Amino acid sequence: MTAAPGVPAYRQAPGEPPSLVGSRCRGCGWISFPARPVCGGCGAEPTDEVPVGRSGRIRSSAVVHHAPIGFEPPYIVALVELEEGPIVFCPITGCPPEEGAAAPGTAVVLTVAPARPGGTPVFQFRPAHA
Amino acid sequence: MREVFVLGVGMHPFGRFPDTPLRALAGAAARAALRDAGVGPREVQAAYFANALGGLLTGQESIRGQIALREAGVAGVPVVNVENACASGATAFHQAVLAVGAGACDIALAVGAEKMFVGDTGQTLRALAASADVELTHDMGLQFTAIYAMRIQARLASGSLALRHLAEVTVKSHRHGRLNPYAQHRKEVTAEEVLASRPIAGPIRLLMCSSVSDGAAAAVVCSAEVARRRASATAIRVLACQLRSGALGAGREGQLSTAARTVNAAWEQAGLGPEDIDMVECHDATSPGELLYYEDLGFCKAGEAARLLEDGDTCHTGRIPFNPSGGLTSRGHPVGATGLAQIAEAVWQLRGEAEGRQIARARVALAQNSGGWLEGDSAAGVATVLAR
Repeated sequence: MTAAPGVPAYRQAPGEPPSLVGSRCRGCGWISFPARPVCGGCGAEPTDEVPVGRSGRIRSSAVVHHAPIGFEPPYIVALVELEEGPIVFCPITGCPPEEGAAAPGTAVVLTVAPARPGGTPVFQFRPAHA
Repeated sequence: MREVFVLGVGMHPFGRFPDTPLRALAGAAARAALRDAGVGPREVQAAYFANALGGLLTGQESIRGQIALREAGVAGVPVVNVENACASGATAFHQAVLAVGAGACDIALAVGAEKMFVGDTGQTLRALAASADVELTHDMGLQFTAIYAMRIQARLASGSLALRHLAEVTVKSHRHGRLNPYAQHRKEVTAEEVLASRPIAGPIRLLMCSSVSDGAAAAVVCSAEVARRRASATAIRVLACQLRSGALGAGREGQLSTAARTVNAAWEQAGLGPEDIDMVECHDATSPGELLYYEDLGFCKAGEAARLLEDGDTCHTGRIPFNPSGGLTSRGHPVGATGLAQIAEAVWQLRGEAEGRQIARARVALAQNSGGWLEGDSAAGVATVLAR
């Protein structure tokens, strides 16, 4: 499968930290990721595109031992709760691929890099203290 | 809605059948269900065909149902192709139940089939990973076992589950599967073997995982009038069948899971609750997932899954057997067929025809099928309550 022409998941201006592309409801303030024209909280329009996800916390994580072709196990994947509320799936970088290294509650910050050798750049999180 | 009955069910065994094409798997299950129901192919008034991965794995898109159902002599009538990830099978059943319940027809056929052994396991695993939002997860190394692993890892970290529980529920799954002639894995395993098997993701080991599989399952559903005229003694009543999709913000703090919302809707439709259920077929795509469903489906309180397992309540001879068929882990998980295999098992148990794996008291059964993954939760869910 080739890369789908994706929704704009993240943005990164030169010299700036990256952010995810979310949306905020003009009515109730609910944040969606990815950005959507209709609010996921109250169902109203319009919403405004907002940068989100510069930081978050690990909700849950696991070390992948049996990887898809092209990936080099072990590596960590996680569900990250963005500081604005949405839950996102992505790889965790910047810590050893061991159980407990990205424990629930760990504060993480956004980064953009390929998750496999020769891969396309994707959004990931790394522990904030690293 | 009118009353709806399951008049017959059938399966093609789950396993590795390299020389059997999708249409032959589907045709065998459909013909078995029609024979079981005592219904001829030309009496079928509508058919729903579930398949999740055939487009990616074989290149055959769009009309897989019309092709496959010809193998059972079903053509000319409305044929609807149903694709809803791992919940495709139960979704097809749900559509057939709606068609009969609404009075649009009196006899409908639901068939689920999947052909996952295509000579390239990498291709099959990529197709499975496409049950998430591929635009957001592309090139992130997502594999579906990791989704279960993350949830189980969090429970291990909190202390409400221990590794031995993951091993024990796996031993139970394989013990049940050994008794099921339709199951892919029919060999008992020990807890030591489970924990020594190859690590796949987090605490999930190879023997805890449902396998790539070929197989098919089918059900004939009908109106009360048809059930009365035919083999009414074996007709099983559909007390509830509910389909839901994952809610916006599903995985966020304090949200009910897709499975919980779905089963709650089924309790409401049936006027029953977990205390009324004699057996459950649940979507244990990895065996420890069954432990999470004990809580999610309301069979014990949050955090008490380990005790339910340790008390033996969910084994074949227990108070509320879970997955007497062996579940996805031991029966195998040809994804589009699984939901209908759950229905078939429940029907056989309720009719007292499950032979060596027959449970003692089967009057009311719950079948629960999950599919896909979005925002940290299942993208689809189906819950069905059946009664004899």
